[in-house]
Amino acid sequence: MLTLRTCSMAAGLLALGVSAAEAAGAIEGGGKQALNVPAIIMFFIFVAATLGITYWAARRTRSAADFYAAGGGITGFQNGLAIAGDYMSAASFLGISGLVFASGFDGLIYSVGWLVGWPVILFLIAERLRNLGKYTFADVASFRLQQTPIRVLASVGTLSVVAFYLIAQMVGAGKLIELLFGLPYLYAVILVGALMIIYVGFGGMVATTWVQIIKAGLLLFGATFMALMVLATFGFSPEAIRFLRGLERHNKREWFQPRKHIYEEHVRAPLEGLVNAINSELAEFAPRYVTPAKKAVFRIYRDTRFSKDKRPYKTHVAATFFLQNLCKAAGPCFYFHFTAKELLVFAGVYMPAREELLAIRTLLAERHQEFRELLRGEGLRTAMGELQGEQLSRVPKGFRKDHPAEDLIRRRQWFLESTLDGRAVTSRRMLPEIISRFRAATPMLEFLNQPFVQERRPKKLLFMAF
Amino acid sequence: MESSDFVERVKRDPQFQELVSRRSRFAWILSGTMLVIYFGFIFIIAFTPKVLGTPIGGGVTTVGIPVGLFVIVSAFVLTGIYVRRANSDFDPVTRQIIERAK
Repeated sequence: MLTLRTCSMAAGLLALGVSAAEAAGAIEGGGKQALNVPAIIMFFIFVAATLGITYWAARRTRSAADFYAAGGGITGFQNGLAIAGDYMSAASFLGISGLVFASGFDGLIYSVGWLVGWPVILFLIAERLRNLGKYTFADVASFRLQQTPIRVLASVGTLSVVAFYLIAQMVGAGKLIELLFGLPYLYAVILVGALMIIYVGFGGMVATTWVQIIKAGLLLFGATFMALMVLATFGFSPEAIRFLRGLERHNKREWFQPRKHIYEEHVRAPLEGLVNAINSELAEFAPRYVTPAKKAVFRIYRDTRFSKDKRPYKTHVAATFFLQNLCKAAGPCFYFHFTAKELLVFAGVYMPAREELLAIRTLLAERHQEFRELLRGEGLRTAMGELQGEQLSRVPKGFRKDHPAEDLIRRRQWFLESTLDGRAVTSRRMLPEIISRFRAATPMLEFLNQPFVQERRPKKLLFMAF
Repeated sequence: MESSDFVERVKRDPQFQELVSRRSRFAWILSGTMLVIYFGFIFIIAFTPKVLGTPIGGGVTTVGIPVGLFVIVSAFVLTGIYVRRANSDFDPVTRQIIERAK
């Protein structure tokens, strides 16, 4: 028990460190990262607190009963929390978070299997162990058998199991320290190993249990907090997809009206959250496109006045990010939408007004080589594919028929788009998937927007001349 | 610890023998229930995963989620039943037996 709890303590440090580091966005790739100050501070607080507990426990430990069983002074609830701490860090260490991330709630099977083992141990073994009054597995096994061979066997078994568990944990913990502090891997591992030995060697069961209780509290609080924040910020709930699927089937006022609150709560509100998250990223690489959520999000109501199609609602949810100070949705913009089945990310011009059409054609006639160069960029090609859009069959008036850019000039739409599976919508991938594509398309979009930016300059000068 | 006399007295106590058989039967029934629930779940996953994958009421939540939660909750409930019985029945009887044998 003590050994198990010890090695899961290393996992605890690991899990704690990982969640702190993840919160600050430190773990992305391998290698050394910039110093992550909040994570390091949390790490030191945790280590200082646990060493304090170890010191306190070491002073109270007088007998073997104190060392192995905390002198019987741990209540059921405390021990329960400590075991929960064991469990949660072991679970996150052994990969249940990854499993649930990769395969959704199918990961549930794994956690069920673990949980079910405990009651069976309780029913069949726990009371007998208690009645024997022994501390370790080897003590129990050798109670009625020959001491020496049983103890050798038990030691070999325990040590080989623990070694494998511990090696993986030490590697993880070492990597983490390496990441956080920029310390060489070898020293990082030695540091963590020394900490573990101090905890257990001096503190015994009292310290180990208390460290686990603190860890359980931190993990419960941290995981719940993060889950709520993630749900509140982005990642659409399955209800959103369910709602959109329903709307596809019943595109009627009578269906929508009683479910309007679902739209507001599960679609509209998180969509605005997502738009804000995108804006804060855009601020870094394309600040002029930051668009307030109220302006960026499209209404779900269709404009049916001039359309044959009289269905009242859109079955996709969309937002656009356009060059500020231009009127909405006309010029080249970033855009994304999703339906129940897919997520579409777009950058370019879709419905240019007449003057814009001309401005873009003139720009391309002059600087087509530059534009083609941008489109050929490896990053853009893999993220968004080839240039798309409708083409006229003949070169429009005012341009030479044999113009080297005639294929670009004949177009009336210039855009790139990329379609993702609908599963991205309810996953954490949604934000990064959109951002990476927007980022790749930024130079292309900036290029297309040049005429509209320059157009404003003379006006400004005129105004200043007055 | 206690002398072998004491151990012999406890062993001969009919209430002790009855306690042992009653307790182990109870423990085996609970363990069996737990294992049947768990392996039932696992076998359904293994042989007819479609059953658990059926969505409830046309939504995205599948049958598997409440069933999985039921397995988890049943582990807690069975533990609760055991603890209740141990506290109200087995432990007092154990104390009586020890008192008598002293």
